[in-house]
Amino acid sequence: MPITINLRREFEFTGNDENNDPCLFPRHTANHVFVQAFGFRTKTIASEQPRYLAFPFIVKLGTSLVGIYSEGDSHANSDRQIIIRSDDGGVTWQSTVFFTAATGAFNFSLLESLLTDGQSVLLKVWTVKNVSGVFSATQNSTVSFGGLTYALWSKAVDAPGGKLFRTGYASNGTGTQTALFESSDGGLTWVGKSVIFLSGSLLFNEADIVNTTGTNWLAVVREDSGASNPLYRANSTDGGDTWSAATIFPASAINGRQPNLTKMSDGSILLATGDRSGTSGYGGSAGDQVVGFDTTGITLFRSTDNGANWSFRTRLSPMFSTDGGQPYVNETNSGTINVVFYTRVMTKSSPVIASVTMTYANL
Amino acid sequence: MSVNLSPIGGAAAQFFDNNGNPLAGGKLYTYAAGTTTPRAAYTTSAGNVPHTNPIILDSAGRVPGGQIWLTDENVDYKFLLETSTSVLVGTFDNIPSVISGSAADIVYLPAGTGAVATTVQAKLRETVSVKDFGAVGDGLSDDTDAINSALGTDQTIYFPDGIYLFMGNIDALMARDLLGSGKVRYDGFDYPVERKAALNALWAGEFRCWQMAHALASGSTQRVQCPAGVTNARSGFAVGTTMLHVQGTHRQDALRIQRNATTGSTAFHTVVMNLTREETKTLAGGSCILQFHAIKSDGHTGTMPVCRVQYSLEPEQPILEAAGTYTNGNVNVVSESVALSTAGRPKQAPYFYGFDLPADAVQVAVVFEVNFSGIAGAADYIELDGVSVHPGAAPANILQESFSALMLKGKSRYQASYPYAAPRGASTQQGSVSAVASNTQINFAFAINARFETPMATVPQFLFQSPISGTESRLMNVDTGAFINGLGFALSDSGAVITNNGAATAGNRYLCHWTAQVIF
Repeated sequence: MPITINLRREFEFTGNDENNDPCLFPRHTANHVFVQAFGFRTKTIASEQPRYLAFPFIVKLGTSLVGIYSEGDSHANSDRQIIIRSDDGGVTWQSTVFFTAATGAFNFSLLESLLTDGQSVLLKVWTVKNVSGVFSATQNSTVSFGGLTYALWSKAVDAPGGKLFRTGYASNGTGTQTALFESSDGGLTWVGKSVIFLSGSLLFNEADIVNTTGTNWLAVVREDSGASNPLYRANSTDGGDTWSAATIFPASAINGRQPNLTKMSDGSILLATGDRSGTSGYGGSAGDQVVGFDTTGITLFRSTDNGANWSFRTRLSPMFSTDGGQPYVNETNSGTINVVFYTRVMTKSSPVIASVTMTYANL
Repeated sequence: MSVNLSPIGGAAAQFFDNNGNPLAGGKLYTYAAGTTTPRAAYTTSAGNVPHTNPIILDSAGRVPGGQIWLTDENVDYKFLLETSTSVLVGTFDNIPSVISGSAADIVYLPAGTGAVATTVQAKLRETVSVKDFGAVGDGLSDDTDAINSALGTDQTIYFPDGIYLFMGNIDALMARDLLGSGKVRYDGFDYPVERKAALNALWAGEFRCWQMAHALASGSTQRVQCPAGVTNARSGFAVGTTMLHVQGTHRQDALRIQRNATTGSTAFHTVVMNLTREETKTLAGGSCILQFHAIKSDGHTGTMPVCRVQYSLEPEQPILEAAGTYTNGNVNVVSESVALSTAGRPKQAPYFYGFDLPADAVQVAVVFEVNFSGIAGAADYIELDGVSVHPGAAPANILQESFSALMLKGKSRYQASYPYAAPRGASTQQGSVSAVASNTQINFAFAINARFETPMATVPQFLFQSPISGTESRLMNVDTGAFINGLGFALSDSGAVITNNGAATAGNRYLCHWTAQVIF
């Protein structure tokens, strides 16, 4: 008998287990009823100790998941990018070197059967395009807008008129601000469209956006000056031309780093973050593994009212350091998501690229 | 050729005439003892270059090369020494090529102040080596008689490096003080003779905590009773077998997996003992040994059970797969068909299998896949007895933990307010928790804290029931005997809160039983 869920609370669910016994079960991925209720699965996609694997960037192309991550000797010191691809919803992955920094060489082999003639895909700062079977990569790391130089960051999302949107952030001398960028050529070039987050000395940087309904958009951004890893939000009702003032999420409810927003097939919105506010990141500095609720990790929230209200936090994976995160959510089948992120599985090991597959309707 | 240094002129020797002058150009003949038949002497310890015969001494009366070596064939020599003009200086007959004598005649003086001299023989006889009695130690030759002869002494028995095939009483052998790096090969397994003591990291394999069996309502045909820490693979939990606590072959506590009589189901019954991340830490990053005893019944119908050890590098997870494997990242490091007998193995000769566990292993589990065939008779079972895992490379003497310590570990998987041995839903108020309603509001007219005696392995599934009826998510009004719906809150690995979810009567007392379980 399938698990049924009645009440969804911060720490637990009420419902009936497989034996139809009414019970409480926790919002915890090691609990057997939770695993059964959400079809929860994990998979370590890549681990190359002591190499540092990080910053995955995963998109869906057709029915395949494809993306790249950084590999190097230490944090933000990558010497190559690895491309990964799954054709079975994240159960198995194939990989190869996508870009080698020392030579500037690209390997497009895993994209060849996915990109049709004329189609392009954005992977971090590279836009890969197939023109009559010839693949090329165009790099756009930064864009000038309003007198500032922005670092492009988020994934590209479809915008009206066949355009693409993505975000970037820049230092303005007082703080940092986040802006929306637009591409009319499939991601080969980007121009500034609007400033999303700007407020005095606040340090807005990594942001993601999602189209909620019609011309309404929601943006969520990381801010680095406040305690507890705060996240802010802003809304646009005019297709991204203008944005509401930044509003902070209550950190006890929603916080983290590297926000990722995704619109689901049922109309709901998922927000995934790299949550660095738990104890394992701090306690872990002594080399300890801390296992429990209050660990840093990868967290997931769901909104069924276009971002007005959000579910309680569900921690998908512990992190065992403050260095990890950047979750990327993709809906593989209706109602099922795959989330790729990077994390340390032990405090003193190097991060790995890992993933979770689960259903989201009952979050 | 093996050679020995000659007693005469062996090394750096100098020969003189009868006037005390160096025997320059002197001649030294070597013959077979008592004859004039030449017998070769050699220039070096390699024994491959003979001296001239006679050996012509140099101007200082020394042997060219400075050494004389004799054959190791235990034959005697005759030496004849002459001057350079062939004047006889001396004849030395019956000189042995091998120095012989009794170890009882050779004095041995141990080092250290106050040391007392003894003989080499006495010293060597302080221990008895199985090779003293002809043991071969090649793993093929039957060394049983030699070992039994050694057992006939009352001394410490030494096993030099080697594998000694033994078919005698291994319990009696292992009960003795044994020394050495040798191993005893007994019935297919090689046991080091020196056995260390170890704690069992696989505490569930002791089969001494049966909280779940008692607390879950179960009948003899249901396979839901099991010792704490033991999980049964889901599909293997289907129908037709029962898990029983029985007296084992060597211990008081053992687990029997028995197919119910007349049952035709041949579904595997897969028993899994899964360790948490915390419990795995004691094993990760080294070599480990799984050891156990097991028997089968005369009426056991299946093929031999398969024993597995599996681990996963993925985040902590419960066992939910039909085969008892980890859902995520399962890796088998042991997979053995275990040849069971009805009598079982001697106590000191358990089944054992070694494996290496990576340092980043998050979980490890021991699995027994028990299979059956045909229609079950009255006794179609196997029994597991003393299943243990410890760090190391050889079987160990497993130290027994106290019952209270094991019960606490068992409570990391299952806890209940019921008295130990009372099944869930039992018609009893004993051990129940209760509170008096302070008002009539639907929630929190009262709140009952259910605290777990030790934190559970992970946050558990939590159920509560009204006593007497056993209906879940209800409480009983003690004052009226009526029932009221309840609701649980604030579930963690350390406890939960139970309150009312229906209108309460102020001043009335409400009570319930609770259970918390981690199916791991």
